[in-house]
Amino acid sequence: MGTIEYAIEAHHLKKQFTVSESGKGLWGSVKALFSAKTRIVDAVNGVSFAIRPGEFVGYVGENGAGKSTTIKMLTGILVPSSGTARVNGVVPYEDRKKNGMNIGVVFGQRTQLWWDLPVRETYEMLRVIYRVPKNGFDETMKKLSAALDLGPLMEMPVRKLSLGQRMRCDIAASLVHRPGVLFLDEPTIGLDVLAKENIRTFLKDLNKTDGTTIILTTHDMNDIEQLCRRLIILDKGIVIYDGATEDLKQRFVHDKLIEVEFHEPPDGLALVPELLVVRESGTKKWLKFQNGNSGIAAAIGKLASMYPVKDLSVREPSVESIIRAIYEKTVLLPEHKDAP
Amino acid sequence: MTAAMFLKFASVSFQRQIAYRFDYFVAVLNGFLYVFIFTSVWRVVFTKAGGEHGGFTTESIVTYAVIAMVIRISFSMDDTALPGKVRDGSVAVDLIRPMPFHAMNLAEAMGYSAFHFIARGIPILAVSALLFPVRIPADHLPLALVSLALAYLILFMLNFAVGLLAFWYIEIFPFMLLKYGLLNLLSGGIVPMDFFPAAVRPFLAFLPFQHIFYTPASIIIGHANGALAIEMVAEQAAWVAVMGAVCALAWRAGQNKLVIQGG
Amino acid sequence: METLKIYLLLALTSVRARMEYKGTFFVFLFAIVFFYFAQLGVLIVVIARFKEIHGWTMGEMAFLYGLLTFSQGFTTLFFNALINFDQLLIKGEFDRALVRPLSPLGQVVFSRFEASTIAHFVIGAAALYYGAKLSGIVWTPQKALFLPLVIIGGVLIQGAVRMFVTAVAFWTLRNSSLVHTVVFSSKEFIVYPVSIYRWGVQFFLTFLFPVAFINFYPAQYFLQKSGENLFHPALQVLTPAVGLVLFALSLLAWKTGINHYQSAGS
Repeated sequence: MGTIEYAIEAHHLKKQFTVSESGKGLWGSVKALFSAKTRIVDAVNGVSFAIRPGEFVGYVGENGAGKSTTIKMLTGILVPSSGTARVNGVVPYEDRKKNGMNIGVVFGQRTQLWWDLPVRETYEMLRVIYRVPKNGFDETMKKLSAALDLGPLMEMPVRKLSLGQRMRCDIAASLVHRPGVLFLDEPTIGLDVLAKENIRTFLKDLNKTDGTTIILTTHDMNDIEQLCRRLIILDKGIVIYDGATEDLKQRFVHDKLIEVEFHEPPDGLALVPELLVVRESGTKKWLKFQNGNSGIAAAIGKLASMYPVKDLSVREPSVESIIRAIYEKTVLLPEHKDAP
Repeated sequence: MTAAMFLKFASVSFQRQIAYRFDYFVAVLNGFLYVFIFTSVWRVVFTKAGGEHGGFTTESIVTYAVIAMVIRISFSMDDTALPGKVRDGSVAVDLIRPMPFHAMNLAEAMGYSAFHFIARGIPILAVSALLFPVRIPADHLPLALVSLALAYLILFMLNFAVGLLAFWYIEIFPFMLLKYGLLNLLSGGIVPMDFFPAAVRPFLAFLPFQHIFYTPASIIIGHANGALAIEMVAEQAAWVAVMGAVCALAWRAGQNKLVIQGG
Repeated sequence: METLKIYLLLALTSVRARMEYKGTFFVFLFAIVFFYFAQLGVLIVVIARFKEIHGWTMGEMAFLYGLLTFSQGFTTLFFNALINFDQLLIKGEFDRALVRPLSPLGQVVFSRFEASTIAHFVIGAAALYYGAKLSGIVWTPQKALFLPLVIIGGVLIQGAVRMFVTAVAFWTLRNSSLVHTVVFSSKEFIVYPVSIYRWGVQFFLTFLFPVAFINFYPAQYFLQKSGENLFHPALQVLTPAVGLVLFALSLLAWKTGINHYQSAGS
């Protein structure tokens, strides 16, 4: 397919849904029979971004922000109300068959495995559906099986798998045809810590060694912190942040928080000018580091030389806390400019 | 279980039916379609037979077809709800509710039926009355109402008993099909019992099905009256007792099964 | 060719998946046969009583019923998955079909093969056989050749009807009562000769919702029934053509529906 500049492109994507409103109570519902009240909802309201091959992008937002709707347009499930999308140069909702060959899709909440059949049979089916040559298939399966530890699961009927096992099998199923682009919609939802960790390791490796472009929606910010170098944040159908995950953290780095425990309660006021007391409780104080220039180490050194410090720790803000702050509008982002 | 609780259940069940407008209008059409087909068939065969046959006139058989269909529609119940609850185990939740299980089910069935009576039965009756020579004598009304109530209970208990089979069988759709087949043929919903060959009628009398649509419809249109009508209603009452006993036994057995399996 | 092989494998897989519950298969078969016999029973009771329905004798009525049920057998075999299509939409399972490199309709159709459909063949074949015998059909080479074409036409008409009503689900999401009315209840119309209805209904069943072509018109041809040519005698041989046209239109409706699809969930 040659080299293309972008693996995924979205240009002013919009999707409107018609929602019918049902009346309240017995009489309301009777009335609703004869007067159709419908409302138009802008689920996605002009989303643009471009993702280069090999990127690993987190696509986050609150429930109803339009994440899944965007993913559904990019995978060809939904036709946008306006705007265009291109995945590997193909318009997904216009050429579904061609697009299907290029992409892998995992819906965390729904399996694509044949419920009543052993896992192996699903892979055999997919081999045929995606017309994967036998030898290439064997090689791919060997790799996937080793990386995701599928061996013991192969002969089990899908309905007997645990959620974590099923997710591993599902991810492998989306990769049988070695797609260049992988869409993951909530792949870690409901999994325990260990299962999440296994899946993250696998995805990281897949992105690095195979160069698979991955776009991931999730509610688990640990997924984002550990996997996604780039982050797109969606709110009410529009992109409010698109940039490096690290940049987002940098922007809040001056909000570093220092937790100090003293041997005895110090005189509250004149600690160190760069450190602002935000909370205190007994011999413990929480200080916010403010001045980026002088360096946090110097400030801590000054503090330790002046007072008997028993314990001290520096906390970086987590992506989760930043994003929560963004959702709650306690932090405002500068106006986002559309991507190319 | 208080009357208020009963009404609440019935009302929620009623409202759930309204949720899909489109489905509703199609369902009205569907009911009318059947009325139209069967009245057409009767008109044709009765015209050929000279306007009178088996105690019916063209007019009374058309009325019978309309009434039987309106009863059928008004007696709509969601017979998949109970087996669904048994299958997914949510029946256990219903067991700890502060009201008898069968009463709750009856309330839900009645809410469902009330919707279908008001929203489908009445419009279909009204349109049919405009289009066809429907004549309903008023003098049988009290007995007709008793008969309707008993008929409703028989159908409810039939659905209840078949639904309970879900305790023992994963797939109960085949039983539903058997039930529908029997109801279509032997309940009088389509063909009144009078038209069955004389040789099979005594056997049909040993089954509860004809008391679901044939008995109330015949009483309403005055096809069955006097002592015969009272006798038929008495038979209905006897069937209510028998079916009630069957349901109670089946329900107890089902509950035991539930306890053994631990939900 | 390759694609056909894929679809067959899909169908085979669905049959295999359901074989897990093979114990219930024969119960199903029995129940379906019973249900249709009960339906036929209604007809038999009426005809036994009144000797004929609008000039159609027991044998002719059986032939009429046989044409309907036999072609319905094929229809169920191929298009059964469409009956509960709204459930695929509601549960979001249809999304998967849209991201695979195969026709979404093909995937739906072959996702569930209904083996119990043999019941229709059994009843349909029996009704056709006894109907033809009782009514004394004179078989000519033309009639013998036309019969399979009529069955194919009937399957296409019924298949198209199912596709139309499933396509509606793309707009309304829930369409079970429409399926019930259009697919099952409307069939009740053509259990009886269409000539018993008023003119408006005859017109409707011939030109707007042309299910009369499944059995009524071709049955007249086979039975050489004259005297009740509705509209035009040529209609008696038009079943295959009507089937093709209707099927093509229903494919178009499906294509339009998919592009209007609003996936479930957020």
